[in-house]
Amino acid sequence: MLLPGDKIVAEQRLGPGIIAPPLEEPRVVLAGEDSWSDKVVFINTNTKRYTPANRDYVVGVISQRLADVYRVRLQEYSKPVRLSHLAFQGATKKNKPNLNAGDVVYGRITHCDKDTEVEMECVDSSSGKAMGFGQLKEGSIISVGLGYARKLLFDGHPVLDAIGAKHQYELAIGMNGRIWVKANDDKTTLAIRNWIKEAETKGAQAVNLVK
Amino acid sequence: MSRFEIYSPEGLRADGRRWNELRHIKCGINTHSKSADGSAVVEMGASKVVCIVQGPQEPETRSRVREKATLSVSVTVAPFSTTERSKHVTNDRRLQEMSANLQNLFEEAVLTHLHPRTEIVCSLTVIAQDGGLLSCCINAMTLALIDAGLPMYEYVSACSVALFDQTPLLDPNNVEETELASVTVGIVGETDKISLLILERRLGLDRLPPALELGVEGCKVLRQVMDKEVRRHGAMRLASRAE
Amino acid sequence: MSSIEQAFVQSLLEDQKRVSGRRLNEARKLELAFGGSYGHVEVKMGRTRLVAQVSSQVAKPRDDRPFEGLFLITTDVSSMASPRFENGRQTVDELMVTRLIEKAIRRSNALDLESLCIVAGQSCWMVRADVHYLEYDGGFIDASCIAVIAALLHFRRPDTSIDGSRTIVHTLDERPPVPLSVLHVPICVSWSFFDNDIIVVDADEAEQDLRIGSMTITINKDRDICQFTKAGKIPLSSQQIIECCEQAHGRAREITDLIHEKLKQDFEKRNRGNMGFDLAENDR
Repeated sequence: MLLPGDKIVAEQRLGPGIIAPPLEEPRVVLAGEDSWSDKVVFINTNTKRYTPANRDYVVGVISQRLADVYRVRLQEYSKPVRLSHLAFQGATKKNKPNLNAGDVVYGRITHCDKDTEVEMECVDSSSGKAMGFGQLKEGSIISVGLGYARKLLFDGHPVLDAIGAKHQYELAIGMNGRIWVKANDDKTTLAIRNWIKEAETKGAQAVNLVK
Repeated sequence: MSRFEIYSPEGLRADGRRWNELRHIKCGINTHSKSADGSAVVEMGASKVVCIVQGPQEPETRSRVREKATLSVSVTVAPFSTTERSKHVTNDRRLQEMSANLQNLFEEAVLTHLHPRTEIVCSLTVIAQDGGLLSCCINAMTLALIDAGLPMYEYVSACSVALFDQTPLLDPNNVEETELASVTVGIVGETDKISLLILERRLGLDRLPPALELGVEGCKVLRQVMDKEVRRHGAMRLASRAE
Repeated sequence: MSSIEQAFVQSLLEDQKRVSGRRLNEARKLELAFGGSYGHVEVKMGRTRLVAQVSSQVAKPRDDRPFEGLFLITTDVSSMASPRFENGRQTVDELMVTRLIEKAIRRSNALDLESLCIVAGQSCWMVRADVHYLEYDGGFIDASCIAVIAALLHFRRPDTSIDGSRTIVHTLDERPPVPLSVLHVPICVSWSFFDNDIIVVDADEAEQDLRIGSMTITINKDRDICQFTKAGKIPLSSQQIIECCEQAHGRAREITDLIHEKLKQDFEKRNRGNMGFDLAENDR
């Protein structure tokens, strides 16, 4: 647990929540847990509002369909981001996906700076492969804290393993705090939803609920 | 007013009707053919409402652009509509609520999805009030929407029922409405299923079923009266085209 | 609301299940807490949270009703409750909430206005109930109605006496304050309609966004329907309507008992070590 103003000594690259002013020691600017890996260190805070950042995986809901782009809402009451009709696997000018307002997509942020509209894609543009991105059909969506979503995505969670041991399910975790769940039937989907929600507050103890 | 004047032991009401009698209904369709796409006048006893329908047309505000047609309803009450001349009130909450109820009710009956991204503007003007205001508005709106040529599943008809002890009184006038509790019942088509039910005064739960039953019967009669008028008008138009 | 979520909720409902785990005709648990001052109530229903505060002041009665006091209910829906509400702008839904509470409590004569008269045509009590919404998760109508009526029951106004032509308002030290005369306890129960004729009681926010229509019944313990609003969407047979009323009556009985029990507990706490005077100071 670190607080703004704390000093931090790291050889890795500095991620979100840490700044290194010139000629000064790196300093923490957000309150939260420090998260270390071989390459990077960052502060994991559990905020609610999502600010898009490049290469973030997101689950979004299409809010509007325009001539060549969709507008995708990443959170309720937030500004939508752009998703080109061509940013899908195998999409060409003649063969475009047919999505409507209300449909759900999984993709990643590709373009994000302060002067232009944020853009996302549902295909890995370097390889042209879907990489698991695209439209999400059926299932259900829950909203969780952003820190918890990141934790689930990067570190995994015992509750996910426990659910996996018991049920077959599909999962898409967005760093915008949206998690898409789909199991074989609604009853299981609902149960998995609740377990994941419970684990946000109860932590590893939620594993007992699954059993 | 004494209780016997409302409903005498002989079974007569103040205006001479029996408990299950409607007032005289007079309705006209296509009454304002020059100024509106659809129009109608409905008189129930001394109550009189004019409804004007414009549209479907392009909405004025962007928020009304939806995948279904937006019904926007406004109700205005003429200052001379009551015995005491009242000041002109524009933003009355009671009227706003009534418009919202009308809008919700008619969204059930009108096939709004056939006219996406349009607005249907219904303006109701209350010329004279003598009880049964909401039901009079509903009936007038049905006729005006039919006149405007909008696709509808069925007629929407409504009438109110007041309760004098255990006796339901059909289509109460102003005197009865101020003295007794009353319910307004609205149905879509010729069914026993109730689409609209509004009650604003205290009423014992056990007295409700007979009132609903009578209300539905009243609505069915009103539907017939309106249907007759629409057919009469239709026949007249056909005849004039044949000439 | 996404289309998959819509389909998910709908298919659960068709299976007689709800996302919250409740049964279709099961309302959320009601939590009721009285504050330090008289007439302050906080109501929680699931994640919906609101506060009602009743206050009174001496005012002049209306010219056309000289024997009656004044009673005012105000509701304040701000963006504090949910980002869906904009400050200072009232939508039609909010208007309907306000109107319904007004009809349920004020127009059903839950508060005996004549008892608020001090000197006919000269002075009377003006009772205000202010409802503030703190958090929104559906069911504003039901929760605010409960809050207002509980606040009215909890409220104590200062006692008054008349000395010649002067009206004296006694402070709480001089004379014990007087409860308002509440004639009956109306309780609102709201139903939501979904496709395939599914009727659900006490919808939460997600369900409210998906519903195609709603119906609100206000009923008291004595089986008096105080207000009934249903405008379109799903046609119901009169048996269904009566059945809904019966269910609403059951809930009204439950809630009324709960309110009375909480009131009893609260006043016992206030009066501890006192000779039966319920002075506000005792709590402090």
